[in-house]
Amino acid sequence: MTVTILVALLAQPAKAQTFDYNKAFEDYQYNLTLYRQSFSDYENAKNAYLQGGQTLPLKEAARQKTLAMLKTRNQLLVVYLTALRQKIVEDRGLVFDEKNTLFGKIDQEVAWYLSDKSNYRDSDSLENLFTKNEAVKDRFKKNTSLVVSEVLIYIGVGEQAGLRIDHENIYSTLKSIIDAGVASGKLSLTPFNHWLSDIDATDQLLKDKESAAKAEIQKIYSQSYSPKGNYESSLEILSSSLLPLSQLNEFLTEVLNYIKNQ
Amino acid sequence: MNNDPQPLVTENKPSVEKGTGLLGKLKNLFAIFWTKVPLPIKAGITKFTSNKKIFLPVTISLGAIFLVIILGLIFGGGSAKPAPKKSPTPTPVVQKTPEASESGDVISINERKLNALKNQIKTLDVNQSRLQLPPIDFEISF
Repeated sequence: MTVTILVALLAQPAKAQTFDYNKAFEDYQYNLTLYRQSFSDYENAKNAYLQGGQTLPLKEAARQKTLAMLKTRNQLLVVYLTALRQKIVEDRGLVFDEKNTLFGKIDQEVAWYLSDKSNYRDSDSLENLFTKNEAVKDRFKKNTSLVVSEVLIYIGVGEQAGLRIDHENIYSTLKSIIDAGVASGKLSLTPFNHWLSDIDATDQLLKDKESAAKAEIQKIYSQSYSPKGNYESSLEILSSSLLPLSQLNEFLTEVLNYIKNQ
Repeated sequence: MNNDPQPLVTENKPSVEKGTGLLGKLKNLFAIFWTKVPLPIKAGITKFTSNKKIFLPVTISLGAIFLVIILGLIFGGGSAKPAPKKSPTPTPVVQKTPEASESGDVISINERKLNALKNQIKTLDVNQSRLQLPPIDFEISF
């Protein structure tokens, strides 16, 4: 008994598996496979019904496959949105408020699909399932696709902002080295003063582009006729940031090499 | 030959006195408990405690082991961290990859960092191809 008590006292609590983006993405891939399988089953059953004389047993088989596919589809969307959410959680370039706003939007979608999934009944008729499908289709078009577009752009902005911040940290270190070198007379302020202003300008350009991409994607909520256009415009802005981001890297490398060779 | 097992120790019923204070109450409790212990066990305990050459080393060793376990549990740390409270909306936590301590001067360190960042820029996927919406067919009617 004493031994049992001691073992119980000293036993380490079991560690829960970490749920990170990689795990979330794996879950999404798995559910995508399940959905593809159930969609294939649904199509086979549908074709069998349509080409097999439209008998009642074939209709029942098609109904069951349709029901299974619709449930799997909702689950796929839940898991997909969760993967997006986890990607944002681990993003280094987005600020707390931006993340929370996106979480609110994603969570609303997840809640909707979970609730909708629980509304499916085994007794639902095929016609009933078609009606329920229309509700999902509508939700996806009017809400989910917009939220996903916004989130994808923010993920891109976050990645670029994270890299920009990393460069800014190096820039800060290099400026300290230059200041110390100039103060001790080992380095001359020229040409650094010109180079630093170029670096500052590039850094500012990157910040402006991040803001522009974020502002552009917000328009999808007010321009219902062409949300895809706003998404494409935001992507273009993000793509145009790649060159200045590379330039920033090159500029800092040049400054670093110059200091090294002094 | 007498077949009846003779107790090694005669049973002395401890007089249960009304003790005062905590110590007195504990003594009373122990006295009551002692009267309920079966005779062979009592005999064993008395024999064990009366042999000081065995009793003292065994008691000291067990005491030391127990003390070490208690101190380990109190100051060992790590295993008994309080579980964080769940909040309705999970707070986003940025999990930074722990950086290995880098060797070399500041210039070399930053040179390596810049090279790593250059590679990251090259591999940036603006379109987020892996995370694009899954192909879903919403036209479900026949």
